[in-house]
Amino acid sequence: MSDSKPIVIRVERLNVWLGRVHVLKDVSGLAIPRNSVFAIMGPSGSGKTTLLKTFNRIIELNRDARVEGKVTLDGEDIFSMDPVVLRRRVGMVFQQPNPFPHMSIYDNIAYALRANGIVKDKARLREIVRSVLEQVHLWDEVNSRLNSPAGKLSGGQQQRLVIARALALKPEVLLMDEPTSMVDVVNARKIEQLITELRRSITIVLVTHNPQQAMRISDYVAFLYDGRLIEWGPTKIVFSTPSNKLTEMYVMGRV
Amino acid sequence: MKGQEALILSLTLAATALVFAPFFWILGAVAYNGALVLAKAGLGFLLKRPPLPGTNSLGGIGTVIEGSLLIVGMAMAIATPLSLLTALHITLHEDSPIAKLGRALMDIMVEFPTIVIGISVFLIFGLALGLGLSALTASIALAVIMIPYTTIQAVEAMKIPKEVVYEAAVALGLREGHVAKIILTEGRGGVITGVLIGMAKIFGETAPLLFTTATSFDILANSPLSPVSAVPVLIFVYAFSPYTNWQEVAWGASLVLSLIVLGIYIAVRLSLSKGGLRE
Repeated sequence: MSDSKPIVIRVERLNVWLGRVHVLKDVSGLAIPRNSVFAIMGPSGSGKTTLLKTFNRIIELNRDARVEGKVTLDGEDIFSMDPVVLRRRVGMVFQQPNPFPHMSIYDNIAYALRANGIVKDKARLREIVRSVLEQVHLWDEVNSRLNSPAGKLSGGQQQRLVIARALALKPEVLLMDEPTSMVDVVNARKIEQLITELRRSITIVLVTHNPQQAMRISDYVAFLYDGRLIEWGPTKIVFSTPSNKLTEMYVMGRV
Repeated sequence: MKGQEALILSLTLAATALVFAPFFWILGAVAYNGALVLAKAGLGFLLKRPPLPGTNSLGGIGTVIEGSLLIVGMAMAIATPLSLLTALHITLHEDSPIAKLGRALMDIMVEFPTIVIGISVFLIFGLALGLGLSALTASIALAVIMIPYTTIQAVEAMKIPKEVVYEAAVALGLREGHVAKIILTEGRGGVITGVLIGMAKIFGETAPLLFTTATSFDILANSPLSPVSAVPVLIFVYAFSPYTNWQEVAWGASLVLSLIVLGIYIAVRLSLSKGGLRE
């Protein structure tokens, strides 16, 4: 927490209910620094994904969800923003690779750029598609078949394609919900490498159930347990000298 | 145990054969009698006007084919956009009260007696609104029948895309219209199937047309408001007539109608084999 980086996302007194279940309980004091990899770890059911889905308000797609508290993006309250505008600034990659399977690889990236009116010029669009595919190290694998359906790619390639799709919109923050849990080891390593490269230009909030992954690639880490924020801070400090007994047990694999 | 298995197998086989029997019997009778008529009348049967009763002429069913194409085309033009928009609303807002009501209504409408739809449309549009026995009245009746079939099929077709890509599309900051376009595009195989199934359903519909079309078949409709006649109604009237040549025309028309409906179902199978989400 002793860092001079500006804060992108702040969370104060956040409570989330899904139906009658109180999923996030008074999460407070969380501050995500710009251009860092911020991992959220915790056991299953601790509220990691719910917290992540609150940051782009996709949680509101669940009609049973009720959110109270304050989350700011660059100091602006996200709950008073147009959710569509918020989601263009805060991108998201899901656990299950979810490209638009019938759409071409090219259109998977180009569609939102065109639909959101961000890029209209075809040459510029091609340039962006190429650049983000290169960024996720997918260009060499797909450049000869950009017009084939995205559903034909392997799971790992699909996951890198959806990362490229999110990056094309140039979000300030990229939310990643266990992005390596459904892909093979080789692709998982590629995605981890990509995350460490991306931190130079973007803030990444990564949900993981794997403390080793958090230790390997994150700058900061938060530990959630049963919907409560137990502690957070620079990864090295949390892992070497955790201030809470529960955190210590979790990183040692005993929770 | 083996004897029991053999008994169950023979019972299920016998039941299946019994179910097949009427299908092949009907198809055989229509194909045989219809082919005789078509062979005698030639391809002109599809274009010529119906014959005078009690003569040796077979004439053709050109006017009723034109009438059927016109009212089915108009019904599709009315029903397709309404069905797809309704299906999108039900899919994208499945938990909302209106979507739930919409889905329940579609399930009821699909089972509704079509003769009741025919008489209601005739009373409201034909008499009260003064559209009379016109192509428009008939196509409204057919559209009301088609909408639940196409809507239910389209909702089913969009279920998997909703699960797979809906959150992803919303997370890209797309507005509802663009999200809807993605869901529709991803489910297009099943959606096209839904439209074709609806089309096949209304092509052979007879009951609602008894109230909304003319029973004089020598009419060439030239506008949505002009009177119109249709193939199923001609079959119904000619088959019950005492005139041999009209009865023959009814067989020929039955074969033509069956081939059209079968053709649509083949198109459905083809669109299904090409459509559907890849795993």
